[in-house]
Amino acid sequence: MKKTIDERMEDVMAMSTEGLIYALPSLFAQISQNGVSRSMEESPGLLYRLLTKLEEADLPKIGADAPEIFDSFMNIFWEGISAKAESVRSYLERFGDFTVNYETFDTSLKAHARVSEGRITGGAGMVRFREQDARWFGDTKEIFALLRGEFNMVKLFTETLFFEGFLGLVQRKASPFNTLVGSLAM
Amino acid sequence: METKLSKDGHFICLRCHQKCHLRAVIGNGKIKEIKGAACVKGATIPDVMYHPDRILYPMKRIGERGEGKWERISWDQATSEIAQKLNDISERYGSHTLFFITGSGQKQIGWQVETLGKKFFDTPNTHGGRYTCIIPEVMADFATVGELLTYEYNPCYKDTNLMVFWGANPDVGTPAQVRDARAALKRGAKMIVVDPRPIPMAKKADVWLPIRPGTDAALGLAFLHVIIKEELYDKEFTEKYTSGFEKLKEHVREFTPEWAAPITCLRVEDIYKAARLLGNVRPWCLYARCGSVAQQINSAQNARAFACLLAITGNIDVPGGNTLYFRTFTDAMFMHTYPMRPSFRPSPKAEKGFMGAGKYPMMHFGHMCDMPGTVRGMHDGKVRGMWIVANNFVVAEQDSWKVFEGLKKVDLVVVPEIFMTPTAEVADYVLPAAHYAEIDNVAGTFLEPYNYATAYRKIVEPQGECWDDRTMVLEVARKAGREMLWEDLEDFLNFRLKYMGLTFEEACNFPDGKLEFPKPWRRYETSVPSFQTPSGKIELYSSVFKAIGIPPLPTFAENPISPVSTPEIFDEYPFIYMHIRLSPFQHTEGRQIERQRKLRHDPIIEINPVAAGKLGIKEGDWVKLEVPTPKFRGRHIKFRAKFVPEMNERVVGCDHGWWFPEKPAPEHGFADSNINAILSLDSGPYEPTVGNIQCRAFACKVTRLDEK
Repeated sequence: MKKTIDERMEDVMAMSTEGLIYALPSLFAQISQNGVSRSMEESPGLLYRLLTKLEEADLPKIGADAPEIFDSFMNIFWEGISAKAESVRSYLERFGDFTVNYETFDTSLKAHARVSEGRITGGAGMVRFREQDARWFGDTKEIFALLRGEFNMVKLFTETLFFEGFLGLVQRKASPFNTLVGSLAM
Repeated sequence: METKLSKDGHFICLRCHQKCHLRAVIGNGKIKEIKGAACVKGATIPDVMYHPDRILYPMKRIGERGEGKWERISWDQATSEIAQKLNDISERYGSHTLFFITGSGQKQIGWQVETLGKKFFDTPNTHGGRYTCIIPEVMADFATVGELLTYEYNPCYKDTNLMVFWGANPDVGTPAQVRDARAALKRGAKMIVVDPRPIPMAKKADVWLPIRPGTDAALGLAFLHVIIKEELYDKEFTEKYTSGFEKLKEHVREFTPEWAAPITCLRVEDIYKAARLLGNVRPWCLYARCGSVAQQINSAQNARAFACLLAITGNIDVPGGNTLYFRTFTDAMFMHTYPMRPSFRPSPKAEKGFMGAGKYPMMHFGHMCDMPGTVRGMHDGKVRGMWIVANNFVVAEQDSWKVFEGLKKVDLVVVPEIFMTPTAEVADYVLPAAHYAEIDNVAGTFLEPYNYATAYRKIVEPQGECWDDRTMVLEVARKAGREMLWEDLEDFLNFRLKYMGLTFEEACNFPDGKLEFPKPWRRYETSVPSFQTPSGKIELYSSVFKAIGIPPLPTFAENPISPVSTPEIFDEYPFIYMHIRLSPFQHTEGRQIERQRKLRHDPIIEINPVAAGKLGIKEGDWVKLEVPTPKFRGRHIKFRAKFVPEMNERVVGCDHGWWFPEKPAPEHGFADSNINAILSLDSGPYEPTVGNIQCRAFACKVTRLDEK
C-alpha cells in the first residue's frame, strides 16, 4: 500500500543526502499530485520540516546530482506559503507590492516570490531585474535559513548572505517579509 | 543626445562634498556667471567648462602607453570598440576582472557610473575611491549605529551648544556649512578642536587639543573613561538604546587622562576639561574627517570611539547632535546616491571574484574592492579592464609610480575626463566627459536641515562632443549586447525615484527641483528596530567587528612608525608628517584653472619657524621631504615652506593631491610634490576593515632644497 505524505516525510527525515536525492523527486511528485494544501494538512509542518532537513543535507551534492529537486521544492514551497498566506490577507493588502528573488552560490537554485493584491505567489526561477525589489543570495543553506525566517544581520557583513535592493526597502519590506514567510512555513 | 534644458538655471554643485544649490546666469548658450557659490570652486565652474584644454572629443591611443599619441575617433567607434573589448575580457578572464573605479571628482556621478558598470558588466569590483577617506568611518558607524554618523552631513550646528571638530577643518572642507558653525559660535556655543594644526577654528576654541598625529583613539578612550567614571553619560538613553555598556565601562577603566596625556602629547588638565564639556554640555555634535577617521591603520577604531562618545551622551538623532542623515532619505524611499551604491550587486558567480573577498568582508558589503590588492592585480593580470571615472587615479592612490606602471599593463583602460591627467595619459581611450552643469541629475544635498534632494536638468548643452558619464556606460552596454536594465539615463533617473511614485521630469518641476522629506527627531523612539544594527540598538560592543575578528570595543594602536614604535628612526627623520586640505582645490582638481591656481601656485609645507630655522629654512624656500621607507630611499618630494608659529615643532603639514598640468606629459609631475609617490602599498600593516596603509602621521625628514 502506498505510503501517505506524512509517512513518507517520516522516512525522509531519517535519510542521508543520497537517500534524499533518491526519494525527494517522488515525494514532491506525490505532494503535487495530492495538492500542496492538502499535503500540508496531512503532514503538519511539512514545509518547515523539508527546509530544515534540506539545510542539514549536502546541498551542493544535491545540486550536482539532482538539481531539479530545487525547482520542484521551490514550486511546492511557494504554493504552500501562498495557501497559508490566505489567513493573513488583510495584512498583505496593507503590506503592498513586493517582489523578491533568491539565488545561490553553491547550487543552481533560483526562486522568486511576489506579494500583490494581498496574495503571495512564487516558485522556481527568478523574475527580471526590473521587476524585482530585492534579491537575496548566499549558499543554499543560508537561503533556506532565510526562508525559515532566520535572519541575522551580521551575515550581511561577513560574506555569508548578500542583499540587492534599495536599503529603504530592507527596512520596510524585506525584513518583515522574511519574518512572515518564516512564520507561515512553520 | 538629450534635448531638455533647465528652465531656470538651478543646479547642484558637485565639485566638493557640500552640494551647494547654485544658479547659473546664461548667455548665448553658455554659463556666464555662477550665483550662490560659497567658494572659489563653485565660482570657477565656467572657467572649467570653457577652458581651452578641456577634452572635447573621444580619443584613442595610437602610440605606446604614455607616448601621447592620440587619434580622434567617433563615439560610435569608441563605444563599439570598448564594448567589444569588455566582452572579450569578460569571456576570457571572467567579468570580475573588470574594475569600475571612481573618485571624488564629479561627486555622485562616479558612483552612479559604478552602479551601472556593476550591473551591466556583472562585476563586484568597484571602488568609490574612498578607502582612504570616508570608508573606515562608514564601516565603524554602520557596525555601531547602522549608518554613517560623523561625516559632514551629520552634525547639526544650528541647534547645538557644543561643536567638536576632530581632525576636520570646516573652513576648508565644508565652506558652506561653516557659516552655520560660525553662527553657533556667535550665539554662544562652545567648541573643542582636536587638530595638530592651528586651523582657523582652533583659534576660537574653548579647548584646542593639538594632538600628536595618530593618537586619536587614545584621546577618545580617555574621554569615555572620564564621562563614564564621573557618571556624566546619559543613563536613560544608554540603558534603553545601547548594548554593551558594561563591557565598554570595564574596557575604558584603565584609560585615564593620565594614561592618554603622554601618548597624545596633551596636558592632562586639557583632556579633563574637554571630557567634562562633552559630559556636561547637551546637545553637542561632532565632525570628524581624514585627520582622525581615515588614512591610518587605526581609523575605524577611532571612529568607533567617536560613535560611542556620541551614543553614551545621547547626542544621536537629536537637535544639535549628530543626525542620521541617510535615514531621512531611506524612510522617504528616495534612492540617494550613497546608500544606493551598495544596493546593487552582480551575479553570485561574479561576486566570488571580489578583490578582497575573505579579507575585508565589510568592504565586500560596501562594494569597495581592496585597493592594494587591485594595484597588485594590475601588475599580475588579475585586473584586466579598468573604467576610471572622476578619479585621477595615479595621483590619488598611494604608491603612484606603481599605479602608473600598473595601468600600462592592464589590457583595457578607459578614462572619461574633463582634462588630460597623468591617469588619462596612460589610457587606451580618453572620453570627453560632460561637466555636471551639462547633465541631468538628482542629488541629495549635504546642508542643514539635511532633508532634501534636488532634481535638475542640464543648464547648457555639453561642450564639443562631451557625453554624460552615465550615458557612456549605457551606450557601451547596448553595443556590448547586454540586457538593457535601464534603457537610457532618464529611465535610470526614474528608477531612482520609483519608490516615491515620481518621475524625474515631475521632480524637476518641483520649485527649484527641491524634494523635501520629513525629518522628525529621535526616530529611534518609534522605529522598530531602533537602529539598523544586528541587535537593533547602538552597539558599543560591536557584534559585527567581533564576527570579522576585529576588536569589538574601541582600541588604540600606536602607528607602525612613530616616536614610540620606532624611536631610533626619529633621529634621522624627526618630523611627523600630516597632509592638509586646500581651499582652492578639490583634491587633485583645479590645478589648470588660473583663478584657483592664483590662490595656491605652489604646494606648501607648513612648518614651525623655530624648527625650520634650525634647518636653515626660510619662509618661501623650497624644501624636500623624505620618508624612511627603504623602497623610496633617495627619493623626495618638494614643497615651499610656510611658517606657522603655533605648529608643533615636530609636526609638518603638507598640501595633498598635487600634480602639474603644465609639466611634461605623461607624468605631469605627479611625483614631484605628492606624498602618494613615496608611500608603499607593498607591505602593511593594513587597516583591518578597509585595508589602507598608514598614509599620515609617520616619520619624515625635511631639508632645504637648493632650487629656485
